Amino acid sequence: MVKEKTGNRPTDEDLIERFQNGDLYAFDLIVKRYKNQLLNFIFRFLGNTEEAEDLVQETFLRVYRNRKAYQKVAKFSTWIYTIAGNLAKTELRKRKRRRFFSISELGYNEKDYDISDDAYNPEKDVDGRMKEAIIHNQIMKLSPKFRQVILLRDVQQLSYEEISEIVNIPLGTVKSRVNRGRLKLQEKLKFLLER
Amino acid sequence: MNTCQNYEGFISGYLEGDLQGESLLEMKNHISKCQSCSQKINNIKVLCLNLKKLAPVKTSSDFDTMLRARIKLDSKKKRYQTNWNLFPGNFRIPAHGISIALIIIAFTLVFLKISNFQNPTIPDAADNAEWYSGQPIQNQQSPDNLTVYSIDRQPAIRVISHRQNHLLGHTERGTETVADSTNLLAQENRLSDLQRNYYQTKTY
Repeated sequence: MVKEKTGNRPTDEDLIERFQNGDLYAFDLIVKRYKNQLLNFIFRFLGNTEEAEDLVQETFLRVYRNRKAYQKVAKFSTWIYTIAGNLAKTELRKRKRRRFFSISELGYNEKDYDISDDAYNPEKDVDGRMKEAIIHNQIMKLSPKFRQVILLRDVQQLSYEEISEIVNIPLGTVKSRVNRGRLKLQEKLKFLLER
Repeated sequence: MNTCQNYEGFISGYLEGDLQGESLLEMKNHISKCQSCSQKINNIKVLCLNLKKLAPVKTSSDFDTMLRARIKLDSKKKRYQTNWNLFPGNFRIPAHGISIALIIIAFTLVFLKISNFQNPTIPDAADNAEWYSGQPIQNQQSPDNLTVYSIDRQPAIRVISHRQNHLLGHTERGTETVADSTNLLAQENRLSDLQRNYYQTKTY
């Protein structure tokens, strides 16, 4: 087993190459490096920690299974975020289908409605946690295409080029989506941001 | 479309330093005059800071253990699948179809064999004898309704009933090959005697 040298941090691409050559310790390092980043991304995308953790595990399982499929032409982070993003989107679709069936089974009066934002009193003092919860709630209300790019750009701090590769859309479209997503969020969170 | 909406599209570019030259100057000029756009830009700045500072969620303590277990299980499953992978790639579906068809045929054959064993079809005695000899059969009725077939005194296969068989002392029922006409006559005489005796002891 090759131990990681301190002070000389191997790149993600080095690690995956080592893993492709059979070094399982390199895979452990990849997991250590990405597990929380991916969890944050998927959690903010889906809004459920347990589901998010399950999907992060599934992402690593796919990396393990398809390690030979990775080619050095792309950045490793782009590859792993693409896997995670696709899994999250699939989960979201499944959830929509489930919700459709569960709602159709409910009676007219039993339908669970979203609590309107109008009920929130902006005058109320909000602490840090509350503020975060509100922001998170508004992120969840964005449509998935805006949510994904906002999370990748403003939460995960990835470059536009990386996002373009992950989401598989042109660079210009990514920039435009990020801008529009920010404007939408800003509009919803005006009361919080102008304080 | 009003002027502010035109400038909205460039807010992120302006904040991230992507705007240059004339576009940048125009944007700056508009912000200095437009309170609404200036406020929007400030809001987005704060929003981006807030998004960056969102408290990170951490994986549970047993995440690594669970992941290892999942990988182990997946590898086992894969190994099992490869061991049974007799037909790779495109041949898998037709091969499965053929296998299922063969299994169905095998089961049908076994079922038929079993049902045949449980309900053997006893051939009609006359038909059988006729088929073997190729000649018409004269049917004689014995007094106790036992049937004896003879084929014009020709050596042939003689089909005898269960009861006759029992009287002759045979353990097997069904057909009996008679070597020649003499033998056939002798046996028929013997059978008649036995039937007579049987009659006498049973009825009279």
